[in-house]
Amino acid sequence: MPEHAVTLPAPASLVGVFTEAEEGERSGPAVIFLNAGLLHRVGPNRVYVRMARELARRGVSSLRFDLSGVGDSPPRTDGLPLRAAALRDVSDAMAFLEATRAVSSFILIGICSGADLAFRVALADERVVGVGLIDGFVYRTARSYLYDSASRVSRVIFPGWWRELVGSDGRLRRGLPFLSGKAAGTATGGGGRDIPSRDEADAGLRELARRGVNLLIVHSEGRGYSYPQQFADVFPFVPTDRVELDYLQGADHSFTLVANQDRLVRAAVDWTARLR
Amino acid sequence: MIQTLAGSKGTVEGPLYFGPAAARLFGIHDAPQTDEGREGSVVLCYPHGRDYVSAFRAYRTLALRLARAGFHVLRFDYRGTGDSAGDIGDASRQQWIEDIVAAVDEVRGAVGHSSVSLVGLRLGATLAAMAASACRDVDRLVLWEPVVKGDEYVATLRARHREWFQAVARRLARMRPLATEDELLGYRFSETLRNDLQRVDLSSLAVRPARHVLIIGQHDDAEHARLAQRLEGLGASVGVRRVAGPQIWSTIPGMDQGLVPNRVLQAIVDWLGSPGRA
Repeated sequence: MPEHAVTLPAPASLVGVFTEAEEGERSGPAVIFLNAGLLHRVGPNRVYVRMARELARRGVSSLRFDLSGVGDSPPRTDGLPLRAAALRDVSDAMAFLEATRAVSSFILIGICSGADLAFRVALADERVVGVGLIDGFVYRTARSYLYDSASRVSRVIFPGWWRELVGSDGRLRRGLPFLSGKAAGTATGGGGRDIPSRDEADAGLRELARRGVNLLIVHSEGRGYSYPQQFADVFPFVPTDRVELDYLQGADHSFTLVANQDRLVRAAVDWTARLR
Repeated sequence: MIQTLAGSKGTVEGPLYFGPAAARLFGIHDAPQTDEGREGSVVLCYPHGRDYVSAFRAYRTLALRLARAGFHVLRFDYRGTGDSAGDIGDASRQQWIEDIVAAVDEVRGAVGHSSVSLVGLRLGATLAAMAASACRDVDRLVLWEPVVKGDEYVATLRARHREWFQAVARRLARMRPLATEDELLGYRFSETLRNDLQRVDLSSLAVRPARHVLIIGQHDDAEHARLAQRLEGLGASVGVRRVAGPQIWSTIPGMDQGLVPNRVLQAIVDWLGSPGRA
């Protein structure tokens, strides 16, 4: 599929690659991939490239680019502070696609800090109709603590069998409903990320729900997200027909094993294709 | 339309695609930032896998410094890596060597300079040396911690993969069994590429890769001395230097710090800009 090297106009001068849909330009939203931390625009283990090419085969165009000061993009010259600069970068990228590709709506997909940014951009810009948050903000529940504790103990004492009893799909929880009680969780993650507070996330998700923005929530294992429905337990008001949850048990945060990259690419591509 | 380094209004700066339509390569061209160009070009050859990720920032920094020193600089992704066409599962050593040759041709065709130098780190150095031998007209070659013995390189990566797996598997519930035959630290590792890399022995290079060669090591490595002897035997003027600095290769997943070994980069810029000596 055609891929085009692009440089956004100054002052951003951001470097990226536009992947054109194989079936030609369509009127639907284009996807924008956001940097995962300091990794450049190809994403961890090149998953953004794979997603972009698979989406192109399914008629979706996309842009992967480096935020200012990341990868191949120089720092901005307008002196904006960090968060404002990142928001402006994405806004500039959307304006660029509007001007050059006649795209008027967007789906943002971000991993880690890219998910945090995608969430903030979606709140600030009504052109965003979908956000894919991969290893984005996590808030704990009582059940997630229980899972993690049980997991640690079981790996020492009963390797293997306990999960068949408890089940990642919540078999035990359904039998013991009190275990689903929610804790006033704190966000997990960190490492210099701009993670929204629980209140910010709550208010923001209500606003996105009001606007009908579609959500994809994907989490790897081991960072405070411990079972598939954890997001729904924390934010029960998010309409179920607007959110898709995917818990990639056994995947690490970098999606190092190829099998887990395959799962991640499939989750993101299938969700995006269903939105169109 | 394929955008190439030679645009309709002079050379294209910044990101571009070049090479044959079936295997388009993504590159970044940094043009000289001085009025007086050195009439030379430098092609930077990336290492592979985790090393590529870890070295990415250092390569960009090196490219900008070389451009400030007056060189045209092209850094690019091999087939199946980065933003270039293809899948890593289909990659081969020979393809990557051809990609370097294509990059040299691209830069030479666009800029018109006869003097082209190559710089590579780890596997990038090895591939650069092999490509330079194929080109036969590379002026200078910088081998930064070159992979001399491919079997040792692959064995080291496998050990890293196992270390990572054992560290992570303790925390994660259903990590599937280790499969170092098929993947290494986040990337598919096909039988073709595995065999290609295991057979690498840079100390048996048969053709002089460049007139001047600099081997930069950040650690003592007896292989570097043996490689230097071999290259001198082929008629190259060879220098071997040890320059201290942070190691930016073979890090395990999640340990990418984006470090920039300034002294190493400065040594490379100084050597490429110096009069003809190793």
